Amino acid sequence: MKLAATYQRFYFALLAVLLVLGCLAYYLTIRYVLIHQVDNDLRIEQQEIQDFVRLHDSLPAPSRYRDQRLEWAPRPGYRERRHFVDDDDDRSIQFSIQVKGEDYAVTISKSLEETEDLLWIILWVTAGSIGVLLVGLFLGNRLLLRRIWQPFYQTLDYLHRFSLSGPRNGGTGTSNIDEFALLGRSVEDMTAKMQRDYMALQQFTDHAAHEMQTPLAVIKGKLDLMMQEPGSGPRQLEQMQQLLQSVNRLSRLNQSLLLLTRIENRQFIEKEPVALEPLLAEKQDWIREHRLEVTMDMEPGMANIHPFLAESLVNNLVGNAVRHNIPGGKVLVTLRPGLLSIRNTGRAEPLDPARLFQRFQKQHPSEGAGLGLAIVKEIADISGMEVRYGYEAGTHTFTVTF
Amino acid sequence: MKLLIVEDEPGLLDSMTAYLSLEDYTCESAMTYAEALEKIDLYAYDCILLDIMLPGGDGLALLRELKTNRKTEGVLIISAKNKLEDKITGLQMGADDYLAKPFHLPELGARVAAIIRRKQFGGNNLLEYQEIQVDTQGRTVKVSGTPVTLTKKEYALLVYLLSNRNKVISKSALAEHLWGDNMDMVDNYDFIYTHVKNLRKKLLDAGAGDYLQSVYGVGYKWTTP
Repeated sequence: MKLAATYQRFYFALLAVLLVLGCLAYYLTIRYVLIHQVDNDLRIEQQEIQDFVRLHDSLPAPSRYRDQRLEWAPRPGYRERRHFVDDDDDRSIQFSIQVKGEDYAVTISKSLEETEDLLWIILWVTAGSIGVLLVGLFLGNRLLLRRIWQPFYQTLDYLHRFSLSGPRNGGTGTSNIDEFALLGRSVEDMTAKMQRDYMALQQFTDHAAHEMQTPLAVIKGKLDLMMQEPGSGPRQLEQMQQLLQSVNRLSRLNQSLLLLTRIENRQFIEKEPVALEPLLAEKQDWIREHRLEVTMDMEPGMANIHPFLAESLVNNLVGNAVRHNIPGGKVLVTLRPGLLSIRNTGRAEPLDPARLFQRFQKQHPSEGAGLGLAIVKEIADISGMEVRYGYEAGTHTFTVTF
Repeated sequence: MKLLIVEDEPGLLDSMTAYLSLEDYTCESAMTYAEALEKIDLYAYDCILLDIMLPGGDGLALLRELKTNRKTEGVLIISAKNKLEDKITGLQMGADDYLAKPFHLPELGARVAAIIRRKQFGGNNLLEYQEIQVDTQGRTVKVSGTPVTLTKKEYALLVYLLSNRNKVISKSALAEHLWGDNMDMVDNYDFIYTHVKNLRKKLLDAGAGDYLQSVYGVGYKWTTP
C-alpha cells in the first residue's frame, strides 16, 4: 500500500470516529439547550398561574392553546414545588397549589414536536456539511499528497533504474519541500559517488591487469630464452615448462579480468550481425584433439553481437564443454536461428545454477580460474541474450537464446 | 638481416634481442620514441618490431612516420593484450603483423621470419631446410622434390619449427601457436604429441632426416642430429 493511502486510511478512520462522537455531543448539547429553554417557558407559566391564584384565589380554566396545555385536578395532601415530566412528545411541569384551602395538582404541558423538528434540521444541516467537508478533505488531500509526493516517487523511480555501470538516466525529483529536495540531492550525490568509486575500481582493475602484462611478458620471454641454454638438464627444463604453464594461466586470468571490466565499462556495446557457424566449426578439431566426440548440428544463423564478444562467447562455452568433460565424452553443438546450445557429457550431478555464473566459482577443482561462465553471462547480458543451464542424466547443457 | 626492436621494457628487450640474435639476426634496439625515430631515419632495417606503448610518443606515430617516408621495412606491432583498437589501426596503417603481449619468443621468431620472407624474396616464399622445401605462398611441402600432404595443423607446426631452428620450443608455445591462447585453457598437451608424431612420420616416410627431436619434459626442437 502506498504511503499516501495508508495515511489517508488512518486519517479518515480517525476523522469519522471523531465526527460521529462530535455529532453525538452536538446533538445532546443542542437538545439540552432546547429542553432548558422549554423548561424556562414552563417555569414562567407556573409563575403566571401562581400569580393568577394569588390574585383571584381561583384557578384559570383548563385550556389548550396551540402547543400548550393546562390541566388541573384537586389532589388533597399533594405537595410539590416543581416537577418536570417527559412524555413521548411532551414536556410537562407539575406542581401543587392551594386554592381556597384545598390542594390542587396543576400540570402544564408543552409539545416538543417543534423542538424536535428544529433539532433534526440542525442535525441534518450539520451532517450534510460534515459530509461535504469529508469528501472535500479526501479529494483535497489526495491531490495535495500526489503533488507533494511526486518528487519522492520520481526519486524512487530514479533509484530503481539506477545501475552502477550504466548511464544515469533521468533525475531525482525536484521539490520546494526541503526534505524531498534534500533527499533528491542526497540520492543524486550518493549515486554519483557510487559510480565514481565504481569507475575508479574498474580503472584500477584495468590498470592493474594492464601493468601485470609487462612483467608477465618478461617472465615468459626469459623462460623461453632460458630453455635455449645448452647446460639445462631435463629436470630444469621440466620446471621451466611448469613455470611457463603457470605464467600462461596467470596471463589468461589477467585477460579474463580485463575482458570482464571492459564489458562492464560498456566497451563492446556496438552490435553487428555475426555468423556463429564458422566460429563454432573451427573449434571442431580442437575438441577432437581432446579425444572427445563432437557433433555439430548447425543451421546458419546470425546473432546481433559485438564480433569480439561473439568469439569470446563461443570460446568460453566450447572451452567449458571440453574442460568439464569426461574421458571419451561427447560434445553436441546445436545452432538454430535464435538459439545456440552446447551439450556435453560430464559429472553425473547437476551444477548449482545459483553459483554457476558467479566469478571465481569453481564447483569442481579444475584448471580454469572460474571466470569462463561469468564472462559468458556478462556477454549475454550486454548483448541482450539469455543463457540457461540444464542438466539431464550426466549431460550438461548451456543454451543461449538471442 | 637487420632488425630494430623498439621496446621500453629492458627485461623484455633483452630477451627479444637475445633470442633473435640466436637466429643470426643483427638486432638493434631503441627504448624511446626519439631514439627509434633517429635510428629509422639513419639506417635501413629488414624488420622493425614496434611496441605501441612508448614513453615520449605513440608507437603508431612512429609507424605513420615510416609509412609516409615510404620505407619498405616490415613492421611487427607489439602491444598489450586486448587492445583491439591498436591491432586494427596498426594493421590499417600498414603494419605487417600484430603480436600481443605476453607472447612466446618462438612465436615472435616465427612472425619475424614470416615478415622477412614476404619482404625479402619478393613472392618467392621458400622456406628450406636440407631436403625439405616449404612454399609458404602455395602452402606446399616437398621432400627432395616429392610433395608431402600435411594437415593444416601439421603444416603450421612445420613452418613454426622451421622458423625456430635449433631452439627448444615449449609445449605451451606450440599450443598457443596452433590454437591461439584463447583456446589454451585445458592444460593437456597430448594433442600436440599427436600432431608431432604424425608430422615426423610423414616426413620420415618421404625420406627426410629425423630433425624433429623431442626434448624431455618441455617440448620439441628442430635440429640436425
